[in-house]
Amino acid sequence: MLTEIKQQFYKETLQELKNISSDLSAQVIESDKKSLLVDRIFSVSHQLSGTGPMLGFDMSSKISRKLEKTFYEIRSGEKEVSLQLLWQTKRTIDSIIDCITEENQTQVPQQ
Amino acid sequence: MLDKFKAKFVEESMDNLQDLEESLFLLEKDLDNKELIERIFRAMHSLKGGGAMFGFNHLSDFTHHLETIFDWVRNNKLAVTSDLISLTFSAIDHIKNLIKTGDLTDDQELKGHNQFIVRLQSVLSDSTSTISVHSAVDSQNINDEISESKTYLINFIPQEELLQNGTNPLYLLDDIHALGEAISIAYTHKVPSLELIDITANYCLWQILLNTSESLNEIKDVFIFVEDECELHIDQIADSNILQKPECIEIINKAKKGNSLLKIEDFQSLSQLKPSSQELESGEEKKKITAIKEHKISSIRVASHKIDELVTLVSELVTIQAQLSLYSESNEDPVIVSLSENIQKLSRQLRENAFDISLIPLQSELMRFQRLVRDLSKDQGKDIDFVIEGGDLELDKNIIEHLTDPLLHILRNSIDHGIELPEERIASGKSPKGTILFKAFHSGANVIIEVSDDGKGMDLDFIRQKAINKEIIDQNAVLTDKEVLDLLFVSGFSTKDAVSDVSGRGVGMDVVRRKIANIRGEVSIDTEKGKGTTITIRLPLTLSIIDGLLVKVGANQYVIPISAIDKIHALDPSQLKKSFNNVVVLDKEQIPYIDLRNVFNAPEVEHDVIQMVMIKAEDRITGVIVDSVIGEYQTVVKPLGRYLKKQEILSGATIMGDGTLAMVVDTSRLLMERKSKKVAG
Repeated sequence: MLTEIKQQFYKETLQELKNISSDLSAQVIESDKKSLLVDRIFSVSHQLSGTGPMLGFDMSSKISRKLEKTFYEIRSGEKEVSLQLLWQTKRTIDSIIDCITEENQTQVPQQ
Repeated sequence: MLDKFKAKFVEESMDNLQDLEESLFLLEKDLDNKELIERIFRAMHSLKGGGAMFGFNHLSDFTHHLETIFDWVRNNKLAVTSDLISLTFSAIDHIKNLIKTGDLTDDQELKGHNQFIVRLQSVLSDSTSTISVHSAVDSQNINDEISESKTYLINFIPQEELLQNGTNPLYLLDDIHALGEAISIAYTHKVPSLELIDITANYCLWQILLNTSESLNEIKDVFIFVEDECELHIDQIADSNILQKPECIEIINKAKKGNSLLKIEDFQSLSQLKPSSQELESGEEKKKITAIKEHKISSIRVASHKIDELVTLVSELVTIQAQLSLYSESNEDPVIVSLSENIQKLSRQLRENAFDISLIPLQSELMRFQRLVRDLSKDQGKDIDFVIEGGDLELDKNIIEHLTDPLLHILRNSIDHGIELPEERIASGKSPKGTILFKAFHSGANVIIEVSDDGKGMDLDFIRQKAINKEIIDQNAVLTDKEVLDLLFVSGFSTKDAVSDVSGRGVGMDVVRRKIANIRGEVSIDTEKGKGTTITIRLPLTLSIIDGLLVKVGANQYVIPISAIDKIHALDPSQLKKSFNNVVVLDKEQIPYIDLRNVFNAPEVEHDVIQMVMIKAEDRITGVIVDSVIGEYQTVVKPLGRYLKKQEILSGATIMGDGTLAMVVDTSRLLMERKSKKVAG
């Protein structure tokens, strides 16, 4: 059962991370899409840093906590989104993708 | 997939080149404008980078040389001159060719390409002698005065766990280098001996000297996700670029050799001004606002075929909506009537939006005209000021596409025949610099484009004599001034005795008029000897939907564009019978007329009253006789297709609400055909 939940969580999170990474690759991000993107990044990082440790994704949730903190500040208006910040977010999301994939491979026996 | 990106690169590069040309024009007027130089440099930088990425190697190589020139310019190593601007314009033409054709394969073309590169290189080699003339101190001072960038010392001291969190510090260094000019120093003194090394730990720390015009926040954002795993200090050490100063290089080398960290104090003697923290903050605030403004997306790029599809679909919708209205009128179901009205409202709004989207600013083509005026006037030794008014006016993209050639021709004429050489102008009491005014503005449902020059104007007697010599008119013909000017539109008429490269090949204004007529426009000339000439083009706003007058001729319905109609007269049939040579007298004026029943071979039916639609073209009124006038009709004009392509009086067809067809009459061609007597009155 736990394995199923874990796999479901892994698949959904990975897919969303990949989608966000791809959206962040766009040369220009329209302003209305930008706020939606900020919400999505916060949401996935919040989910990963909260649920991740329970399911054994320790390192990826640790990294995502940084994203969560920064995007919490952005959502509450304490911080502004710069292009540089989005670029660094993409770098971090890409490293979370690598990390969560590796964690999943080492924890779930291949069927 | 790659092809798609490549096509996108080509499209974006063309935009980049347009921006480049625009900047060059402005730079020519303000040779020291740093912002423009930076814009030009950046455009070249993008072309070079993109070119290499998408396999345009010759383009990338070529732009590299051009980029170097402008890098020298922005660093005050090279001055902008008129020659440099001319060379860059020629280089842009070559780049356009390289973008269109890709890498060159033809030996001859390759030879030309390499020769061009040698020319570019010679600019740099020639300039080195010029540079030595300036004293090093002077050039440095200039550099410092105009520079808006600041130099920062960044201490980036990561913890050992940095790598375990998936961070690659080298990426961060790359991102810092992308912000401006940077020198990184890696300190490795903490690396333990081999047997003690943990391969997942980081033992390095870095100091980076960065010169950038970006804000402090932008620099901080690079490290935003590693803040907890590193010690980070970013200090401004100078308010200009000091990285190339020999003293600075010496300090850096010393630090590298001694593995000793740089301190802010080391640079104190180099920094000239230390702004207060308040100034620093307000500067950052300004930049932040500018950055936000720059990043606001105000437009998106859509392929033109998608717009065409949208316009076609909207046209279909308008047709279907007309059918629905007709049905709802005959079927008195209130629900259907109300639905039909709502759909009518929505489709009207949608139609307006779709047509608004398909309008593009005239500005997009003006660059070509500016280039033409600049290049030709230089070639001919004329000094011409090209003034543009109303460049932001928007027109249907199909109209703009068809308008470019006629406008280029008109401008060529102005330069070649109109504006005189400076000495001639001085002799006739004018300023040596001529002016060509390009003016575009709205007038009702039309757009007017005027091209006027303050040149020598046209000699009407000369034109008349030329027409007699060419046997276009009879020696005894009595012509008004306007009719004489109309002779210029006759095929084969050319007033220039010597055929030049520019114009005067005798295939001029007749082609202009034909091309303008193809987009339902009109062209007229106004001139005054010694004062100048104005060519006026009157155009419709859009081509695909017109307000039309629905008329009946025989059993068929026809649409006459309302924009061409002056008024409608009711005639007594006896007036026509009494008429001679297809001219009737109305309000004491002789009005020539065309009977559409004869044109379309419709049987003549006896009427109590005959309707004559008065058509206004080129300041003349001509009557068009129809059987009856049905009323106004919003017409979605459809092309006629191959079968009817050759006929010349109809410009399209439209589908009526009941599914029948109505032909759209091209009034200007109808009148032209009448003049040449092809149309039976």
